[in-house]
Amino acid sequence: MIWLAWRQHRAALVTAAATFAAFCLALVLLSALELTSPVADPLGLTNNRPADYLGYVLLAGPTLLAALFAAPLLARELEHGTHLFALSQSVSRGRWLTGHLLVGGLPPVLLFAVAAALYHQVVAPGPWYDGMAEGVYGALPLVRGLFALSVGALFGVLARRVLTAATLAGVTVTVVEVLADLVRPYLFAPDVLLHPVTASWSAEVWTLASGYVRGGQLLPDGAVVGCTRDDAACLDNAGITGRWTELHPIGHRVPLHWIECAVYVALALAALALLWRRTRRI
Amino acid sequence: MSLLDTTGGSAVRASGLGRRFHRTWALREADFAVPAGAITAVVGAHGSGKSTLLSLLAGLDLPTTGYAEVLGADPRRRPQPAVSHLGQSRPLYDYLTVAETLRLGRELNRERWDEPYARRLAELGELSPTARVRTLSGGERVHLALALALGPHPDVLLLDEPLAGLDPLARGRVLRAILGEAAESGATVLLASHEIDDLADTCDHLLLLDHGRVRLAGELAPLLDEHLLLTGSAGEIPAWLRAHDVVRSRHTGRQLTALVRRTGELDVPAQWRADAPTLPELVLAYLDPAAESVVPA
Repeated sequence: MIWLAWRQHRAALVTAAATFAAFCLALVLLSALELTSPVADPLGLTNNRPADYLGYVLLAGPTLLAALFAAPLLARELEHGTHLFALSQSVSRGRWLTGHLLVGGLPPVLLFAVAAALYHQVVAPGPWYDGMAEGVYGALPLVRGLFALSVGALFGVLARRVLTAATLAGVTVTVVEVLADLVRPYLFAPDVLLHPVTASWSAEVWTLASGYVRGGQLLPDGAVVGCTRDDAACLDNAGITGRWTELHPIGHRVPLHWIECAVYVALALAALALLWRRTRRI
Repeated sequence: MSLLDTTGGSAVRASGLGRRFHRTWALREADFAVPAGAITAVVGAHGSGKSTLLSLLAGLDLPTTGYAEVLGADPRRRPQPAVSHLGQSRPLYDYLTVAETLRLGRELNRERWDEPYARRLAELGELSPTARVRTLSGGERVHLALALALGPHPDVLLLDEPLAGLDPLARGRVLRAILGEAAESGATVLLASHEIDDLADTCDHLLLLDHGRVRLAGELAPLLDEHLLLTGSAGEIPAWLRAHDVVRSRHTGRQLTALVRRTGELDVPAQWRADAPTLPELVLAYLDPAAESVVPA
């Protein structure tokens, strides 16, 4: 089964390795040339550091993994009916499934995780709470990749057609990634601090929301009190006693990271469980 | 419906086996048993459930009702290195070469694979080892698929239309290869085919399917013995004949021909001719009971 899976996914695996090599080369070139200042493109649409473009590639990584590598793993066999070949040649469904997942699916995921780790090391992207930085931190790229793999493979078995499976898997993973970015701040309860109006935070603090405090009551973020921040007399007259800020200190980085990892692992396991159930009925 | 006596030595057994696709039953309440070493012709019209039955026995499909047992085990429970299935769609990897496909057979059947034998079978079809599977003709695909099916010397061979798409010469060659293997290894063979004539001399058991139901199942010689082909003068079916199971009756000119299944003693009056039916006659009578012959006898 290993030889079959390797022979079958050889082209995809070579493509994954070539993409990884190109990514590493780009990373080496960028760090050698020290292109750290933003560069505008000829059309003037963006104004980013060159390294950010590699970050965007990594941001789209799970979607690409799911659509291009994971979805065709099983869908191609089912679409052409060739799974019957293996299954009628004394290969169990479990071996058929794990063979494809481990030989054809896992290597691209691992390459993606390594690429993300290298990127994190070499480029040191933005502040820690930035979506692009968070997505390549610690174990998150690995679990995002595993999630993409299981979702792609699941849709492959459900749709039984490469194109449909790739589309559905790509869309699903994108939606989950966007949702993850939206709920990320609330995976771990943020601190709410009361402080003088003039206090400022270090760049390491992830501020989510803030507002004025009036008579022990927290006014909503953006509530208008009719004073500028530095007009102490005006604020006094309005009964403002200070400000509140909802934030994650850098100490929250680790729990936030592991909770997000756990969510991805749970989603991946759920997809794998469904995949196993469907495979048994093939 | 005739049930085969299960004397314990059966290699394949089905009980209440049924498979429904959406609202259509492809196979219904199939009860039969095939003794080890038997060569069974699985016959029936298109869509009578032959392929469905063989897929179920190979564990490639799930029954809706009932269960099947192959070599004493549920065919879905574990991979069956001892069971080979040659599917009608000949599922082969188009982008592999002949040699790679045979290598796959070896990799996937480590303990049982007989490399020289599989190679000989491939050579029988004059397959070039370096040819890609996608460039093979229908007949060449059959030879390659057969090499993979027979290569592990299976104890049970499930062959779905192995002769379809072959020229008469190749048909004889393939059939001889199958029977040679069966004779040598004592394998149990279930062979689904439209080519009833080809099977007549080679099979010792019969499984006749009609619209998803098992109409006849059992050893061929007693089944043929049970049936009589009677020819008499045209007219109503006489009462002495109606006491038995008239499978098909038809008028040809001034003659009435009836294929009957004896339900007891049958004394044929002198003016009637009684013949033992051949396998094709028996099968046709069951599959097409209403047919009126257009060719005068």
